[in-house]
Amino acid sequence: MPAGLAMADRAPDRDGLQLDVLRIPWGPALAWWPAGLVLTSRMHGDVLTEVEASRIGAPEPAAAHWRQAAQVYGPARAGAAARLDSLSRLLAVAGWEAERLRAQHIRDDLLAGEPDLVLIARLERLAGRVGKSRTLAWMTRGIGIVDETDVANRYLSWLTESVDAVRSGTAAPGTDLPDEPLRLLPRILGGLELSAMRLVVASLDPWLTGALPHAGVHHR
Amino acid sequence: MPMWSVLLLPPGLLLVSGWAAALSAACQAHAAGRPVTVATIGRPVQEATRLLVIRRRRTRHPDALLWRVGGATLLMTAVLAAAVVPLGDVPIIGSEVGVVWFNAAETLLWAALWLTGWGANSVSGLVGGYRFLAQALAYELPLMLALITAAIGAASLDVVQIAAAQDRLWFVVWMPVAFAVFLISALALSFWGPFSQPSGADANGGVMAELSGVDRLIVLAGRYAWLTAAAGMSVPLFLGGGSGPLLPSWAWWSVKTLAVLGLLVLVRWRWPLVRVDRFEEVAWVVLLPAILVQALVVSVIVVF
Repeated sequence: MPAGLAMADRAPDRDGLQLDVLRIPWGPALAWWPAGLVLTSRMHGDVLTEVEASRIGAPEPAAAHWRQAAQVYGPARAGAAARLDSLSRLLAVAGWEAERLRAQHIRDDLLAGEPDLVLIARLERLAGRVGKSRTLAWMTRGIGIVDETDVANRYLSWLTESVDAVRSGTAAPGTDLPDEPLRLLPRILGGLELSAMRLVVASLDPWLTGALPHAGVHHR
Repeated sequence: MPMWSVLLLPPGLLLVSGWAAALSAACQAHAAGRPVTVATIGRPVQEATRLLVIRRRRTRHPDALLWRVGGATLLMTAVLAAAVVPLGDVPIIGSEVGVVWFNAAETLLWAALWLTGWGANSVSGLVGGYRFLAQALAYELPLMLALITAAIGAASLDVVQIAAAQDRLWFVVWMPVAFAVFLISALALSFWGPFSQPSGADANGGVMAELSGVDRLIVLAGRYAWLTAAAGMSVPLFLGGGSGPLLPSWAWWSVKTLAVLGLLVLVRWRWPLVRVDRFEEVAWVVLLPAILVQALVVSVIVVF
């Protein structure tokens, strides 16, 4: 075995062809990745099969941070900032760097106490550009379907919830997932290629990091 | 042009590429909400210096020779392709088949970028290399047909003659589809902007994932150099070369090249990424028939 690395084995892939298969772990620390999440998968080329999801470290690493932010800045702003945070990670893996930088800038200004009027205008412009982008919707449509919502539905809902939260001053209720995200991931990630997998994981980012609660978790 | 002018080509190309990099850095700062200062525009130089002195990071058991050959080929083919672009009226290397020379240099990118991805012995690099191959499969035929369309319009494969044949009417006016296809291919072959998935963040940087130090600088320089060379080539092919009132031809050529290059750089900061598999479909089903129809129309016009 050259340099101690095992050679790739061969196995049938999703189309039944005998292709090289590697056992690759994704995580726990990657750029634009929910911290602590580990996905071990068999990869045929860049197609993932047999995904197993596990976690290293605290179960909801960001939950305490966002709770504290809600106490300091109010639940509306903290909720909007949490959604923008996850949106920026999704925009990063979707490859839209310019909007990712703008979303991060608005998130930082939300948590820095900038006045409402300016931020509402910027948020609405962001929601206009990202929300109306047909290309981004085309890239994210039809993958990661949970409870009849796909990746596109999820980021659009984050945008509208952020704008509504900052405009009205009341926290938006997050949508619930039907199951724990670690149990959902193996079901919806099978057969996806790498870029689609990253998009689906980024779309479940608020629940994976603990920014939004999901069904079955009781906050003390 | 005199023989010694060949030595001016690499530094000249890198200078214009540096301008493109500075423009990109300014766009990035603007998008991040930071003010654009001299430090922002000087960031490419700062980054280049840092990469020159930093220690290289190695992966386990890479194919070092082919890995570095890939990166070097990327930069070298950009210089070769830029050699046939006329600076105003006269190219550094005159050739009767300049269009074919440009295309031949571009096809070496297939090997160069795949080797850059594969040589690192890393999953991310391999995924990036294969993504570039799939993207190349999508843009190559439309690019070739766009080049041929311009050559048909001037009845010559010599870039200087193609530029000279536009003294009455620029080609972009009566073959706009070919110009659009050429610009899309320029973005795709330098994996820039909407077509940057081969170096995408979701694959931990793709072909750029395991590059560090001088290797990274060479690949980054090659990427910008190809963007510049393609922008420079679009001017004699579609925008009339150095033609224009008042100013000398090299001045007009510079203005037009910088305009096209600036446009290509700005596209990155305006449009989202188009994934390779989706682009593949669009390229074969929309772009290829469109450029074929354009070539047919141009041929008919030229014959009659």
